[in-house]
Amino acid sequence: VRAWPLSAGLCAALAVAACGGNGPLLGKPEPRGIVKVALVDVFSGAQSSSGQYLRNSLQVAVDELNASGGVLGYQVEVVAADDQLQPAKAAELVREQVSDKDVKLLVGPSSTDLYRAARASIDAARTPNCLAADVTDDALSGEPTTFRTQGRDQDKVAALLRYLARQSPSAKKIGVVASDDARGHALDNLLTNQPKAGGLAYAGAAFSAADATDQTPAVQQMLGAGAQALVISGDERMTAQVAQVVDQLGQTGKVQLLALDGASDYAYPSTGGPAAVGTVFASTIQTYLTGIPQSRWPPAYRDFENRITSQYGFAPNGVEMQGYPAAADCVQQWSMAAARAGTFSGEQVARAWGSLDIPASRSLLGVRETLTLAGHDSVPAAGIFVYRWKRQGGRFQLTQLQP
Amino acid sequence: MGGPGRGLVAVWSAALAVGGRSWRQVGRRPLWALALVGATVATVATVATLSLVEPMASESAMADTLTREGSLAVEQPGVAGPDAYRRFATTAGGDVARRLGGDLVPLTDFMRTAALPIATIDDASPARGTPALTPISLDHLGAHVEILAGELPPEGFTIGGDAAVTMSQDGADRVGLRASDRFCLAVPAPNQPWCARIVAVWRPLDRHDPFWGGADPSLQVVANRYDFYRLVTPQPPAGLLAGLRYRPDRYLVGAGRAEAVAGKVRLLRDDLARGQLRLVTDLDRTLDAFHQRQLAVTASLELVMVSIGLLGLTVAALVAHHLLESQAGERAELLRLGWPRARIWGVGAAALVGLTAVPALAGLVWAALVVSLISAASGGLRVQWLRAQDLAAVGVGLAVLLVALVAVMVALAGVAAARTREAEAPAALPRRGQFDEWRFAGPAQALALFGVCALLLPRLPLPWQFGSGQAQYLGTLVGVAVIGAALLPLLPPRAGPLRRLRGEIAATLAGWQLGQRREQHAAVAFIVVLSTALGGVLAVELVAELASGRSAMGPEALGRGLEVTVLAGLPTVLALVVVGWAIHFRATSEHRQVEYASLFAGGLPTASVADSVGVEQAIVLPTYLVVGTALAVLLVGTLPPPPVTSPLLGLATLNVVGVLACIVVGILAVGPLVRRVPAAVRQPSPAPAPEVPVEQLVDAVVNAPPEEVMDVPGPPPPPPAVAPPPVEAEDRGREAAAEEPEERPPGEELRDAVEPEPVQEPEEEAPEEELQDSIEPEPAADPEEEPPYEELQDAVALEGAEAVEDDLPEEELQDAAAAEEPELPEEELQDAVEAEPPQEELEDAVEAEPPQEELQDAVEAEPPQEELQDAVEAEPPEEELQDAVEAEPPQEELQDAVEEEPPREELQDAVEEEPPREELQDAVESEPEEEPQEVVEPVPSPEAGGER
Repeated sequence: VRAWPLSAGLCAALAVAACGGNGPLLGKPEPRGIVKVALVDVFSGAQSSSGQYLRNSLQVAVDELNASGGVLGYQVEVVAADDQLQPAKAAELVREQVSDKDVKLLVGPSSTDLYRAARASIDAARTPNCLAADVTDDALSGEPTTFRTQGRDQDKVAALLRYLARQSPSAKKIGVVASDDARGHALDNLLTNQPKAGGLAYAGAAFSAADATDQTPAVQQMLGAGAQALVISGDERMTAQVAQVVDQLGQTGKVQLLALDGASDYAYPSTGGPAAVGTVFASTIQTYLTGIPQSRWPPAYRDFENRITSQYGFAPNGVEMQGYPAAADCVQQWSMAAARAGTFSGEQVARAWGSLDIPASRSLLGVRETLTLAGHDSVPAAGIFVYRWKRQGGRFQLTQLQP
Repeated sequence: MGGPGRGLVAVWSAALAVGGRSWRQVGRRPLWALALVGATVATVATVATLSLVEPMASESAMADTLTREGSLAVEQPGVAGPDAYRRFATTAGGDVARRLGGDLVPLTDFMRTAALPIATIDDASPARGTPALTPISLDHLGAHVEILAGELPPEGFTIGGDAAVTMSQDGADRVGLRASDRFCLAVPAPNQPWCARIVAVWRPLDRHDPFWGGADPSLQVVANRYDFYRLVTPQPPAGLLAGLRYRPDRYLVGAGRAEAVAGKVRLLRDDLARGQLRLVTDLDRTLDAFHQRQLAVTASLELVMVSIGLLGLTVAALVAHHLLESQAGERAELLRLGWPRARIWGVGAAALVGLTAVPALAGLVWAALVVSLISAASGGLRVQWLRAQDLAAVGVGLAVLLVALVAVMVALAGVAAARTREAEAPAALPRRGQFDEWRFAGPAQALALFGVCALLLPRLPLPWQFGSGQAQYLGTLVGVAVIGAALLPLLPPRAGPLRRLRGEIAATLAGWQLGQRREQHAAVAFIVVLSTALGGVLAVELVAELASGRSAMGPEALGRGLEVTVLAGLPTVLALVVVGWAIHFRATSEHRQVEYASLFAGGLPTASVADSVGVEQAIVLPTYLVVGTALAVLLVGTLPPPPVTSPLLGLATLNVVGVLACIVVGILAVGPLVRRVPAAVRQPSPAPAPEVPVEQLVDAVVNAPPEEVMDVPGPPPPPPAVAPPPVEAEDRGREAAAEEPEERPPGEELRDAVEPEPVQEPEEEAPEEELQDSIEPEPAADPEEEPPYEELQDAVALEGAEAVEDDLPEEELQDAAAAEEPELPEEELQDAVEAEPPQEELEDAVEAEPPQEELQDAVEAEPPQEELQDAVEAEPPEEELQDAVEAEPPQEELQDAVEEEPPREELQDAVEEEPPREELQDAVESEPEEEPQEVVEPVPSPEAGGER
């Protein structure tokens, strides 16, 4: 009877020895090494904040991963490359990054043109690739290892048209003012072919150069074509210019401004001023700019907002957070896929990625994200939010219209 | 309740009875039990602590070594461009993965050139003597530096076409650059000038980080790979090379794999050389050096640990042995009451196992606490590096120790139970046996043989791995100590120089004790030798570690492990040797009190017991201190790295002397305490004036020819009973002294003066047992039945109460005895003593079945104390004793008994062997008044006092 504690202790020690492996019993295992998440985006010039916000978002997500042991025992590091919005440089940097054996995820490039320039290197290296910024829907078609954490343009346009039909049934004609780039033309094609309910007619598209500073001709062209609603495709600066032109032309309230992601950041009303009020846009979640209390935000989204603002603070305008949840979503999805695949091999990770089903409670975008091997867009149509800018006191604020 | 239920209850009751008795047995010797508990806790705690410290030291040292000196780089010159770099990385990375698998963790990829001179700083020529800068591309820079200004730029980030670079604050200061400064490096034509802007400055988190590959990062200009490629194309500058740098995985590469990983690194070097790649590392040499150092340190740690375990085991066994000896009377009582020996064994084993197993667990808990404290307090030893296999080894080692401890206790209890006799032989003065002329025999030979084997076996060129350094070391330690203990009987008992210090009588008695039975101190001699040697080794280790700064030559954690070993081991060794010494000589002292009971009656001063034991201590201690010191010197000389250099020799010697002094002081401090005679013996009641001077009595005993006095062969006398009550022993001695001159034949007077009671051999003398049974008061209960537990408990408790040194005043005891016995007038008493008993009664007492009442009356009726004292004082035994001592035979009987042929046989026959009835009859006839006591009274031993 007296020997049982001894026997139990001995058995416990032997059991621990048998199950404990070779490593120290206490303390965490050493990282097996470092893998890289490479971000190719713009870090210089007027658009530099875009790259920086993306980088911040990736860093927040990576920090969280590393704090929980990394991915497959490896610590994760964010490396960035400045493509300077130049397709050739983007292609060179992407080639350099995917040739680095430690790069296990490539995020970017951030526009359709840049992505297309780098696509060959990505395809050759079979490195998992994630796009957190806007590229056209067709850019992803057939890409085996590229995924997107943004909503599809067709879903956004459909959401805007539904809103228009419901809120402005008198509007019968719609036009497009877009930057003269791939995405603008893709929007033109989309509206040309999109079935339009309620007898809505398409007035066509007016394109302006990417570096144009005056959008008046394009706006007048559409107004001349009888457009009662304008869909704007371009960055914040260009979208704000269109809004100001409409305002200057005395069409505010008569012409409904609809926008894609170019109106989603606070930079848009900051630049556009009062002319931006009333603009409706469709994008992924931007609830932090609404008056909805935090307690009603999707939990993962709320956590991200808290981390990014606590780590990087707010933008100089004092309202905007310096990060994109869609970019952090790239890292989250990739880590889940790698863990599921059990390897960093690009093809196997991509295969695992194509079968992810992330519940809304864990999704940084606040919606259930379901991917398939054929469809690499993680945000479904139901995940598209429709907002409208309004003025609230001395600041601009969003009103959530859908869902 | 059904059958199984009753059986369960019976088993439970039996277990309770055994447990209760064990607990009471332990409770009667609380200090000895405490000593056993203390020795066990100290031993287990120290061994467990050291067994955990050893892997902690090794693993922590390995982790430190790998962290600081574990860089390994594969380099290839002339890699310029992404494609070439990718090929190199694939090839080199594949080779490394093939040889070292997961043992290495990628640290960084890098490309660099030779240092390039600065052409301009902000479009101006640099000052003369401005150092050149080394362009380098380093992955994962951010994890190894602290950014002081700016931020690390993205790949491809340019400022006005210039590369964005970073460098250390130290280097920028030396060159004279600040953040945002622009500089250009002179590159070979036809390359374009390579200009860059400082966008961030940083400080290395650790300059010894393997990340830097041993290079000074101060004058490195860190550029992104994109910009570095621009620097080296189209014409690569001198010294261009690309590399992959790794570090060993501290999680996977433990101390036990140092040698294996070093071998793999050497193989990798060969592989890479065949592919025109270069391996830049000292990892193999570092690991080899670590391995050697670790072997040396762990060998010392393990040997100290094993030695302490052995020492603790020996001390625990010695204490348990004496504890069991003190319970001999109780075991005899239980045996008489019908307990089976297995059950008696169970009682003893339960007590000893309880006193060792539970404290052992406490020792383990204590060790865990100590190790946690060490890990928290020491920067070098960290418990988190312990591995599963380390704990497994520790668990197995501790299990072996605990099992050995329990096994020794169970075995000792078994031996004690097997040797239990219903009538315990009384303690008697040592006597020589049939191997008088060959004292180096029996256990001593076995010990010596074991020691020789321990010395030689590890040194033999055996085919299997038996001759490691540790085995030789341990063999030397154990072998020499065992041989030293075994040779104890061969040493002459030189008590002479102590005569003046302790007195003639004490020195004579001590010398006589050692001369007759020198092996009685072998166990404590072994302990002294072992602890002295161990203390010496630890002392030298302490000096070597702390004073010579050996830790500076190796990982700090290994040195910390040695320090902990020394600091934990020395106190434990000291405590164990003092406890062993104290318990052994306390038992010896108590044993002597019983042995010398008759000498007390003859007037021997009771202080002589303490003095004589002191002389024994004084003889044993120096001899084995010298042997132990010599052994320590021998062991230190065989330590793997020479621990003592000449400048430290003096300090080491001083330290050894200090340790020895601690041992000696500890022993000397407890010496007087343990040999102190209990108060009841120290202050005897007014004793009758000895008729024979005690010096003569002692001389007579000591100088008597063995063949005349020492007539009882066989093993050393059994131990005293439960703490022989000194007063009782003295009383009985006095009784014997009072009775024997009158009752015994003259030829036995000398013997009786030496031996308090005649020795009986119960198992050999069946007739005597019958006689004993016939004359002993029968217990009220049927002896076949197990007596009521309460009665048994009371009986033993009473005995225990007497056994405890309760220092009852002699007067009270005498009064109590007097109250029990009717006080007879002196005349009647005299008549009773001198009256010649009828021959028929004696004959009946010896031969046939005597009438119980007569025998009882004749033999066991204790005469009143006054009568006994009168018998001692009034009657003239003095002449007889004097005659016996001076060998002047005024009485024929004495002369016959001592000098004439064949006195020995007669004495032997009369006392111990089955006495020929004719001789006995003759003796009874010649001295009729002594006959009844001489023949039939087996005076109960003090141990068996309870039976009366």
